[in-house]
Amino acid sequence: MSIAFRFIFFVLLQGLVMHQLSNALADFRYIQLIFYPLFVLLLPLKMNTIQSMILAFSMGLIIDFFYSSIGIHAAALVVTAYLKPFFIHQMQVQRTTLGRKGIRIIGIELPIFIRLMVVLSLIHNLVYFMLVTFGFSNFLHTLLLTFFSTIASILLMLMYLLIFQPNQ
Amino acid sequence: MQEFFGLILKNITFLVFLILEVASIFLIVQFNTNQKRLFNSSASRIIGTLVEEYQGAVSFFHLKTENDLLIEENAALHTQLIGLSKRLEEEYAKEFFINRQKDIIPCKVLSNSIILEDNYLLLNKGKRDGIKPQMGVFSAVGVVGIIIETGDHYATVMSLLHRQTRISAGIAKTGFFGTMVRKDADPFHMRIEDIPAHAIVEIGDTIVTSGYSNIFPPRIPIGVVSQINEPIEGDYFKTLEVDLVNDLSELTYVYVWNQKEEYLKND
Repeated sequence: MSIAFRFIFFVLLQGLVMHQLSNALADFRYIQLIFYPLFVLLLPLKMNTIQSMILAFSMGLIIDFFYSSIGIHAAALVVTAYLKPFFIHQMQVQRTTLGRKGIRIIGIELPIFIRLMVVLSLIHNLVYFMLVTFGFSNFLHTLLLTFFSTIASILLMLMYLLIFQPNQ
Repeated sequence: MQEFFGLILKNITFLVFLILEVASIFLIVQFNTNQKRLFNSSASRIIGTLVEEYQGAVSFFHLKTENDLLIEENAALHTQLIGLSKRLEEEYAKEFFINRQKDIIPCKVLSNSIILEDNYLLLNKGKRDGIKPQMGVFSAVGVVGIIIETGDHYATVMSLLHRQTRISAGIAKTGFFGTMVRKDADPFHMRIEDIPAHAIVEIGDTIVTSGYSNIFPPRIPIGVVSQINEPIEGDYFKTLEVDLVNDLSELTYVYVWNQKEEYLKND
């Protein structure tokens, strides 16, 4: 899937399907499905951080229009795009010596990629929900939202990886 | 000088990061103070059309629930109609009710959220259809929120589930009233403050709009009393915990009440 196509696909998936689905899941109270950070994660490693941050910013801004909350998703996704190389660096260094063969996603071994996904989703969601509340009032609520939303979103991202197998 | 540019080039990624973040924060703040710009821009129109198309495709799945609701509402309206036609014989009542019934605008909910601290809805009608800020929004089941911003074809509603919600609500049986506010981040319960200490309340009493605020018509259902907090010594007011009757996560159609100015004057 080319990046442009994936960009549009993720925006529509998040803005239409996930947004509506989150309302349907309202009984659980702490779950909001935040799926689109996977787009930033799936950007090729050789792309430089500035490019991926600009892509992240524009994607966040478009999704913001669906949520009528201008700027919030954009701010959170730029943080994610900025932090991605640091974590990749950290995690790759620990593992390269083993040199195992297995499924790779954008050149990263699957277990490492999943760990990256968990860490970055957690950070993204924490930033997002903190910006939504715009402060530290009711911080426990923010933490619970972050925790449960991340679990639900990670499950969806894994499903996406299973179905589309983006391993270029 | 060269060193300075060298420093900038070295940290260019971080600088771009900072610029984008500052831009986002600026947008967040700007948007909160001035929502009009967004709604008049073409972007919201495009998104609105997209959401509408999507909902057209999936609304099929909600048909059954929606039908059941409509049938119930029809029944309720018929009952009212019978009662009203009797009262129409009186001249005063005639004017009163005819004036009022024209003023309800049916709308479709395009987007909705309930789990955040401040929640908003987007409706598919706006200024062109006669919707203005400060109008009350309710569904077949009960109160939904208040219009805060209108574009030409879309309107934003501040949901009941908003930290700034203050709705004048009363006990249906006795008529004592207080102010309804948000209770923490709970989407199914609200709290009513400033109910006089001598008011007689029982668990299970129905709560309705009082009609004193001129935003909602009187006696629109809101919820049922689930808990009564008696006043602490030296205080003259008690607070009530209310279970909302309206499941705000399942809204498809809502009504906007257009309070006519003449009606206000008559009052």
